[in-house]
Amino acid sequence: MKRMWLLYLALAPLIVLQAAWLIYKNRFRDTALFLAVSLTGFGMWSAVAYGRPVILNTVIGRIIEAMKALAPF
Amino acid sequence: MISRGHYYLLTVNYALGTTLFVTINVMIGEAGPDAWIMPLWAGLSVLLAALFWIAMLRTSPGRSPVEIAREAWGPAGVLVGILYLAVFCVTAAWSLRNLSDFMNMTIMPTVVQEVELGKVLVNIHSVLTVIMITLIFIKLLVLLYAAFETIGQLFRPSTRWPHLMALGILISAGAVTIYENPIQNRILNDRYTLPYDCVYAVLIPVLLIITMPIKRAAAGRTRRG
Repeated sequence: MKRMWLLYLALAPLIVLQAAWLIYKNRFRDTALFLAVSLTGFGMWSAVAYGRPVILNTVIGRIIEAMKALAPF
Repeated sequence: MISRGHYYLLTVNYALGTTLFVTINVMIGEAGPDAWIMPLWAGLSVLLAALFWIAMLRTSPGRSPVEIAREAWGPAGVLVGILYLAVFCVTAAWSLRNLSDFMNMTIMPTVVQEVELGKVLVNIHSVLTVIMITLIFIKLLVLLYAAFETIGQLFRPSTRWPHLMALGILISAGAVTIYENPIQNRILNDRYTLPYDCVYAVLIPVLLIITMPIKRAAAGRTRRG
């Protein structure tokens, strides 16, 4: 849990302040885009902090295996 | 925008970053004294992929692959852009992790033990080490730039620098989670690199080369009709 607090301390101000500034400037599209990218990163960091990281290479491997299984040849 | 000369240098450094230095041990391990032929053989197949890219870019001069995909496939082209964004982010994360692993292996353990400047310089025992770090760093910067430009062309944000920060958060997280250990990385790379590369480096450009003339011919017929 300590690592989770450290994560919030490091990343939350960056994301929240930046998003707040973009909303203040009425750039809602930019805000949505910024939040989509940065919250994906934040989610991945959270998984690391919880000790259950999403291993990207494994995920890509599973996607390729699923595509191979769907392919007719 | 960058010039053609910049693009050439960045591409050459990008290719050298990991290909020449990281794969050399693997090649010698696999082929022994015949290892010299492997880069030539691999280079030929990459030249074929490069020809597809040239042909694709000639269908719409001055436009990026993301813009070409949007013109050819409409809303489905946005998905291609998102796919390329993901590819750039994943490869950038992989490069960052490589850089981190490489520094851990070569420099950091000795720096922790010996902090005097002279000893650190001695411990960086080869010019190759410095070149390697520089080349991987260039590769990382090229990928970050590519991801940043893809975001710009896909979504056309009015302010661009916040997205650079968002990409920084995403890529740093990706670097931690790209693989668990180098052995797992090697196994997954051996198994999946070819189909993974073929999709974004060959399949999509070939499909775009085929569909662009068909789309233009259909548009011309509609205009005449």
